[in-house]
Amino acid sequence: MKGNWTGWTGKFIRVNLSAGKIQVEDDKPEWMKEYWGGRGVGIKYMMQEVDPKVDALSPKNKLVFATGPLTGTGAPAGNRCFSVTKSPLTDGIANASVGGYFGAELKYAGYDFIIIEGKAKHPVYLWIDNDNIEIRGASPLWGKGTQETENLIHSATDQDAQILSIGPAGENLVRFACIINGGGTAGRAAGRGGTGAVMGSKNLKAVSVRGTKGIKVAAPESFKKATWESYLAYLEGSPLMAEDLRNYGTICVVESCNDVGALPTRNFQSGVFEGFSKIGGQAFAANFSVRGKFGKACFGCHLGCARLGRVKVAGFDGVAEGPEYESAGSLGSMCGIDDQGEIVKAAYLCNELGLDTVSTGATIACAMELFEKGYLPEEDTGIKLNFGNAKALTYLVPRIASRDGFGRIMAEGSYRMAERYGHPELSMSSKKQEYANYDPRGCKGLGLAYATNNRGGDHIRGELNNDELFAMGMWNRISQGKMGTPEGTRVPPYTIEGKPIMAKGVQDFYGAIDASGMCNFILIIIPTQLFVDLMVSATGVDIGGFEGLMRTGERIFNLERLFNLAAGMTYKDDTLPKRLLEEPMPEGPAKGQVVELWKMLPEYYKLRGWDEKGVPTAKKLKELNISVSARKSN
Amino acid sequence: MSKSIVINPDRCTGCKICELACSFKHHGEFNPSKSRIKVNIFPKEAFFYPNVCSQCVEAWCAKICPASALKRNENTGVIELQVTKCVGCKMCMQACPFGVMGFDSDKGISDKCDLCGGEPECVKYCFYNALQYKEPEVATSHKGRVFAEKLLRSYATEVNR
Repeated sequence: MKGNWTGWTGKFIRVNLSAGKIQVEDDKPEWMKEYWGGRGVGIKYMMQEVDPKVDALSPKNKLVFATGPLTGTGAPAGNRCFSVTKSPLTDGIANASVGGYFGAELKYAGYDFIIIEGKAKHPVYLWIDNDNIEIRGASPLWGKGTQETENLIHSATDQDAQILSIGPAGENLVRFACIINGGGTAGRAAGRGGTGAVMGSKNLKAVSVRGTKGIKVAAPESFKKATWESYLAYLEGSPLMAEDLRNYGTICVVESCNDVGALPTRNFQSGVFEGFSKIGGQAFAANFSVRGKFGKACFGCHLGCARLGRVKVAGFDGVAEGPEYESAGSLGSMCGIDDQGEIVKAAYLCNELGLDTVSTGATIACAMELFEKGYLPEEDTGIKLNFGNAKALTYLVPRIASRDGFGRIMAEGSYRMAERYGHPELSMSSKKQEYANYDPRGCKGLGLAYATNNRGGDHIRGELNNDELFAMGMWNRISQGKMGTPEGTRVPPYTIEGKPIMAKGVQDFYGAIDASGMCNFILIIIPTQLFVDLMVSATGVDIGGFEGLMRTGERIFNLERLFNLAAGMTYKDDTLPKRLLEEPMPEGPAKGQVVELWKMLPEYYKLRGWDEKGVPTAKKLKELNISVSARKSN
Repeated sequence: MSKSIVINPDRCTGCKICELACSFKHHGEFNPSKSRIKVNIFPKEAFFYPNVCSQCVEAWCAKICPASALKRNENTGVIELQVTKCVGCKMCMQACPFGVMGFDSDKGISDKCDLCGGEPECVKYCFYNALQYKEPEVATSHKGRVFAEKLLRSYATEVNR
């Protein structure tokens, strides 16, 4: 494979910021075959080169920006780039994926991934112009929002450069700071797990890349055929995905999720929100969208789920992206807020300041509950922080980013904040990372996924909700027609039978997706064989069919698990807050439900080939060909 | 009159699939910098514009070419690049007011849109129909329609009253 890579470029960049040293190295063929790229190659290098016990914000942590073999190819939505590092929020593995245009541009410059090591003495940014790579001073950029940062770097480098940057939140080491491509205006986020804070801890303000090289595929005719069929299969697939997401963007999920009683409301105190219609896709299209039904796409995506809307907030009056469903839920129903204008403003500010909208909203929601229950005094918050206080969003978001006043406490995330006030159980999180906007009492399989996902509370590393809530027939496809339900019929959401094997399967499938370079929005809809065809015809590697593809995902999932265990996590961290386990859903379609997690976990561990304490057995590791050789000292 | 690629920026989402389709068809690799169509993205203005050769009737690229390498194909209307004649002087790139003349550094010659022989790949892969392959006479009829619809709304209100 050496010198003759297809799909992959065959090279990566290693930057040591402490030493100011830049090296271009060759990919290791055997690792790329087993881990592909993205989340896979990220965890492989993290496990190999970083002691999982290091402080996430110390120079000893590393940060990997990794594309997949399909990134930058004509595979639909082949645009993903992962930020993989140790998370300052969970103290386990973080992997945050961004769409936009950065990943493809990095491939066109000739690199599959970048490993960032050490810490620069003063603020810097990395400028990659095909073969020329420089570390440049970024002191004048420090403190700037993501949009101004991009504007200034574009002026200093190339207008066509693609940029990943952090805002003040990352600089101030907010534990849920994110990384943005596109600035506040066209912001796509590597959102979760605080990867922006890791950039900040390294004094790395941005990475700018311009590439003009091409990517070849192994079997052009087969690849072209698989690509074309994938485009069409998507358009002919699930109506919700193909039509609603195209016409309204992800924010249309507000209405769908409320209908099934799983829209997290007031910090998960309910699954239905009386103000849902005011914060959903229809309202956004009518009142904020500037392009009617036409949104904005990420690179190479024929779905185009992003929305551009009118935003007017102090210091900004213009067009900006968002909010996505997860932002609308976290900043909206989670906080009991039905004022879409304020949600739009807050989501914009999060992108501009570099904050994960999900953790931001959920942390505000947690503070609101602490406040209403009398655990959090007004002298700490500075404002009356009741649910529904829409003005609190734009008041708090900048304070979190700058760690100003109460923002200093919120910047630690909901778990550490709630713990400080004596009520950690009110943090709606797993492994200290706040949940996305699906209440697992209304989709119990997702509850198991929430509890066991390696990056903590999160939906997008195993979306069982797709079938439990939205009848997408995904598990039926993944299980090759053996399990699940066909499209159009929901997998029974309130039962626990069959959920452990479903959780494992869906998580492993998402592992493979996240290593491929394609966006899951496409791959969860199209026939699984097309995924295999795209991978094989692009890379020329025999991935072992769909079985091999699933094994790749499983391998990645298990290696991440080993990282977390070595970092100090145990099976005790595979859990959910008391509310979801013991407090029945009070109203709506899921009324009376709790997540019977403890009935699902033992079977899940067993199916995973883990012992009763959730540790992968030697047999399982051997089967997956996982061997962690002696860690390279650094 | 021959058909050409008609651009409707209101429908473009900035996905750049046209660039991927074009570079793959003509250069055998995915490489937007080698694409003959290029999407310009202005997120602040919510404006997206795929820019491609419109096969000018009075083609400045052909006029400037010292090697007579650019000639109109009278059957198809396409300004064709005769690769054996092109000397790689890049004057056509200077002359084209729209910046859509490309250059293939590997071959050392210009590179331009040939409408894929009548079945433009970019149009086939534009899933939002921002690109259409149409006769110039009806190229902008969609704009007239949008305007007429605005007018219609005021009239319809009048009638329904």
